[in-house]
Amino acid sequence: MDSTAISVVEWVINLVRAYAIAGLIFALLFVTFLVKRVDSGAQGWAIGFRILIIPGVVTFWPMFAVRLLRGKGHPTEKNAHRLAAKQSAGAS
Amino acid sequence: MGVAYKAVQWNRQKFVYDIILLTTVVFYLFFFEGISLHFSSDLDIKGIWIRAFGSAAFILLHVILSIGPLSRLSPKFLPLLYNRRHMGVTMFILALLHARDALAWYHDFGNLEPIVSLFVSNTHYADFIRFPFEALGGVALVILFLMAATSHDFWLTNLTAPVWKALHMGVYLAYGLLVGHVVLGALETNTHPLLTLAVGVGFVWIVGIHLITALREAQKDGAPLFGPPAQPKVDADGFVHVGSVQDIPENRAKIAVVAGERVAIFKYEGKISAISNVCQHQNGPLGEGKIVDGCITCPWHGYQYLPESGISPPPFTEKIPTFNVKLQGDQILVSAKPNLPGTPVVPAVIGQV
Repeated sequence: MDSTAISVVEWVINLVRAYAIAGLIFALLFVTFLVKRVDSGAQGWAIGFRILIIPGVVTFWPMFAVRLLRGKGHPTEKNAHRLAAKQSAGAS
Repeated sequence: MGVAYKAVQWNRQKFVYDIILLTTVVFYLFFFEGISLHFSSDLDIKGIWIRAFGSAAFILLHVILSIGPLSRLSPKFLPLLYNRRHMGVTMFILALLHARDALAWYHDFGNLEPIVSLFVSNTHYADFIRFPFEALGGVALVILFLMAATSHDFWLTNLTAPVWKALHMGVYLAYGLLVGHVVLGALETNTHPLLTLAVGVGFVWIVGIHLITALREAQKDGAPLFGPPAQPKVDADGFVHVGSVQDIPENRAKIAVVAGERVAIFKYEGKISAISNVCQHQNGPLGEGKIVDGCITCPWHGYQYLPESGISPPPFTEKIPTFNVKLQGDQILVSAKPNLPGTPVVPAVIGQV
């Protein structure tokens, strides 16, 4: 087998593992203490909901980390009507 | 959202759908095992279950991909759309079981980690027939994981519906990769051509039903199949003529494209109101819903909005853009400029001069 290919694949897999371990540590803290700061819909303890979002938080943890550091909640979607409404409200 | 998240918002329909779904999947898996052992009693049981999990996931993916266009063609399929996310998660679990067993079966005997062995044992990436089809399945599994992991409504709120939808459109890339995974896998192992034929029929069905639906949607908007829709004519007062009051049944809507997106123009209690057609929850088509208990109700998941303000009734907090409306005789005119989400608009009263 190609030793270079093995090294590259091992390196990529280790990188993914490191990202996932960091994400898991963040996710456990996030679902336990921090989720309410970015989304007011996370009321009460709702253990099932908190466990259910862990895999996604492990994946997208940098997004939530940045949001928490900036003290921001969840964003509002942008579509053609919302953008046009904002534009015309700004113009008037 | 204005209410607390739960793991699953259970109701009777969801229970019924989930019981039918899980019963069908379990029945299929054991049926597959029984049929396989009936025709080849010397087959290894582990190998049979790898194929059972894989084929169940692939068939379920065809069902999932069919629900969207079928719901656009007939409202009879909307109940399936309501429960599609549970199907998606079930399919991901089946695919994961297939990958786990295949990894242990084919890659757990050397001095390399199985996951490393998967990507380096076959490096014929430039060869069509000997192409490492396992890698195609691996990439598809990552996409399916991203979709399953973000299936809760928490993700719709935190990614926003357009980003969430774009992420979940990755299912089409996953499907293409899985078609390659199955066909090339079958070609490499030289199994019965019936499998390749079945995959081909499934592929033609999925592509065909999507094309038919896209054509119908483009016709509704008066737009070409590819490219932007035609811009509506705006009068000197900044209003667009969208049709007659008689075009709209009571408590229902007419849909027209205004300001680069569809607008839903509802007729109810002798009045006309217009709001953006895009539901804030999952961007469902509000204009295909109806007014229930005084609220516009999305046909996809039942999210509701007041027709005069585009605001969800308490405790919900969703808001969508509204449009000023006026009548000239029985002709409806809608402002070409949307109002900010949740802006109250006085409805046009039918018959009032």
